[in-house]
Amino acid sequence: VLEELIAVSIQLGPVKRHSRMSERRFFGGDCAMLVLIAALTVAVIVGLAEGGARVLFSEREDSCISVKGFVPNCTSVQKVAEGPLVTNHYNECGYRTAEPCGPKPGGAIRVAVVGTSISRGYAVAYEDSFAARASADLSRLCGRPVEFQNVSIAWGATDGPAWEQFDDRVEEAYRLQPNLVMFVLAPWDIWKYRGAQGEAPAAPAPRRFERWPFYSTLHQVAEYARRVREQSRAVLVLRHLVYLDRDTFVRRYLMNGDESDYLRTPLSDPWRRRLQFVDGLLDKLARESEQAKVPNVVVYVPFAPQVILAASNPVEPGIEPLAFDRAIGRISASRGSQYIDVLRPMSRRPRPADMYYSVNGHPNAQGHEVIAQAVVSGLLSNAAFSSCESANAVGTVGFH
Amino acid sequence: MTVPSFQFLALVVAGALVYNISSALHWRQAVLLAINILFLATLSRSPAPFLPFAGFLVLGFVSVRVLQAVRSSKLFVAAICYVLLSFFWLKKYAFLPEESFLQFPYVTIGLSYVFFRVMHLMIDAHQNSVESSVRAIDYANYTLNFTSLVSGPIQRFQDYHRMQNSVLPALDEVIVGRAVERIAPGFFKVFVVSMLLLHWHTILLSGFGSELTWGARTVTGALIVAIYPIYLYFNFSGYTDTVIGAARLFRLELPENFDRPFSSENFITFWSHWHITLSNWLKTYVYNPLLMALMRRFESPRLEPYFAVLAFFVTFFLVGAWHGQTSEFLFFGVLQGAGVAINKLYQIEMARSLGRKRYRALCQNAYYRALSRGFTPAWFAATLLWFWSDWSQIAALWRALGAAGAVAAAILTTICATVGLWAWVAIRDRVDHLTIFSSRYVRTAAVSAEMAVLVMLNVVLESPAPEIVYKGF
Repeated sequence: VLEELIAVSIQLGPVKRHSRMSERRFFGGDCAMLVLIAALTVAVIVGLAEGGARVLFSEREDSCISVKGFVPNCTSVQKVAEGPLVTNHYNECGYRTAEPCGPKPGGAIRVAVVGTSISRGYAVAYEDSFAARASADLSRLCGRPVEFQNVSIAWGATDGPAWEQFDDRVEEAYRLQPNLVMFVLAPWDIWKYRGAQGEAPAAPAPRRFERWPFYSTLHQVAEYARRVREQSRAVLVLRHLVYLDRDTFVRRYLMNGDESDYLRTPLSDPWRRRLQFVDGLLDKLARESEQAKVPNVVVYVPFAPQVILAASNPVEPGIEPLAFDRAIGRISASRGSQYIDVLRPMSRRPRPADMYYSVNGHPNAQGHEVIAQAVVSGLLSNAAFSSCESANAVGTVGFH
Repeated sequence: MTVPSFQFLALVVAGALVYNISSALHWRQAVLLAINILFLATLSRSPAPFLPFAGFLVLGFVSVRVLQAVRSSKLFVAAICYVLLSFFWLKKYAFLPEESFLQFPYVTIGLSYVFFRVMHLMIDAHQNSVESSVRAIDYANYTLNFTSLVSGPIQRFQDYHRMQNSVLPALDEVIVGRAVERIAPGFFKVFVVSMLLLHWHTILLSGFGSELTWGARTVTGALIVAIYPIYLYFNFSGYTDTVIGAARLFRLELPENFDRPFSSENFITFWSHWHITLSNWLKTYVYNPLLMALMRRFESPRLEPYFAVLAFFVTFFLVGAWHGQTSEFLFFGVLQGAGVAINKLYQIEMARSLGRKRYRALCQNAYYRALSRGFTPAWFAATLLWFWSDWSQIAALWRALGAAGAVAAAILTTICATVGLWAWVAIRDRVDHLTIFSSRYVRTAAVSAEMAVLVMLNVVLESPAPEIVYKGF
């Protein structure tokens, strides 16, 4: 019995590996053949992944875009990898707005929106954009047409908003004889401000390893690999899937250094300079408003990680998701602009990350819906909309 | 340094190149010791945190040498107690007074596995199973072997010593190929499969709540419970594959730790296929002595099978309780012990009521085997709740599921495991017989594909390798 019981304890004896290893040595062409097979396998895997990703997550550029703005009376079809196919129509002024930009129709309320991609409803159908939604809801509430003219700042050479166009766009917005001017800002737009790094420091002397032979070649290869990675659709799809885990998404975003430093306190020097830059923009807006006797509002649209962090409790030490939002609010108030807070309503939603295209970073239709609700609620308290129903009526039209 | 990681791989390659310069024993021992120390040095920047660890090693070495020199049962018991107490103290077990613990941070990574090696060496030294006097360099290289320091596998000293002292064949392409064939799948399991499974588990956990419908809650609850053991398997067996492959470059054959555990048809067999070196260690040094002691103390043939039930419970309670110092781990131990003990009791009673022949025939029945194969991982998955979560999380899960939901989730897990494993075993049995998969070219393609996916995912995440769960034990 003892033998049997001990036999049970060691059940199967030593583990048998189910190995198919051949101990045969390599013959002549084996090495070359194995290298060839390895290279071929990698090529097939990468090719299939990239090809499959390009089919399943296809992209299409907006053909109406130009360096100076958008081509007037132009219609294009656009698609970002994570979003649906959308049609962009630009009116005779080159604004993504259903209404013409000519003289304001009698009895209508006109809002001129100065902003970048989010304000013109990038990657969402026009009717899903916050401007179109807010226009429809406010028209219903006010009992007269409310139109949003999207005066967009085009993208510059730095792959971000061409801020040098800001003054022209603001003046253009006021020329539309609006009842209100709305300035829409997002962290990425602010981050792309070129003067944030201050005076360019003198180029440091090359470090010892930078003088090594082949360093520049290696550096070029690394740079090329980085560009390939950024342009790869397979990498984008993998990111999209991995970012379904919101913790990883936020952790990865916080690793972006300067780009995500606005979520940390105290603010870094580049971000202080960016806030000064925003202050300058709002100063310009305030002066134009005063001259034209037209009020203005500022809308700050956060990115998904900021919303996720604002919704989670507690957050890690040193991270303050609401600090930057409050700073923009303070600057707006100091310049006499109304500030519409979008961060809080977005962070109160059950799954905040679902309101964004996770890799692309822009809000999707669901996100625009929440932005529209916040904008409508905010505008109803503005003097330009004093003739509209009270905010209490909002509930009756199904906003919340 | 994390194992596995690309830094670890670089250390292995650089170390193997130096190690294989000469086949002289002294050279190999010296190089291995240097690599072991270099690896340890990556765990802390200053030497002070290593002092408690070093003290434990010295205590073990002195005990082994004394036990080899003096055959005394009292001395043996005293030495064992002293080493056990030192281990509990360094690991800060809750039953010791907190004020007695060292108040500065120190290295404990791999201490549990060093403890198993030291204990094995002490017991074997006392039983005269270690042939020659254990030399300091052999002891250091055996206990601190960088390939298996962090989370095992637990090798026997005799096996290590035999390999280290044998004449080694030259490092050729076949040996390197065999190493690569373990390292690549190991990396793939940890960096890709286990990481994705952990992401999935986290997503399910964060989305699990009362806002879901009853059906969705049940399915999600079942998935949360079922995914974790699969994740743990890929995480730990991936680590094991990597270190076994790495050791091959030093011509050290580490023992296997996993052998298709989810194909097991009962919980006793499962533990012979899961973390094999730990369960074998405990079977050798706890189960067998305890069983023999009970049989000697109570000479009753009628009771003998039930002594095995008791010995199984104690052994596998220790397997579970070893994992940590909290009440959750103690309960995890109770569930492991209960699982194995009830399994044994069931075997005894079934053999008694049906007769050995009919019971054996039942065990050969295809449906019975499939159901047993499904029930085993389902039970293990349920017990792992006390391994990865705490009482409050378990209570929240229970509140969200309710009794009916928990039962439904358990049934769902068992059914899915039964069907899934039946299909998996059927496919595997056929694939195992296909000679194409033993082709060197096909294996090269498989390894290349794994590495391509791994690099792509690593490029996306740009984050460190996922932690090995067992690193913390």
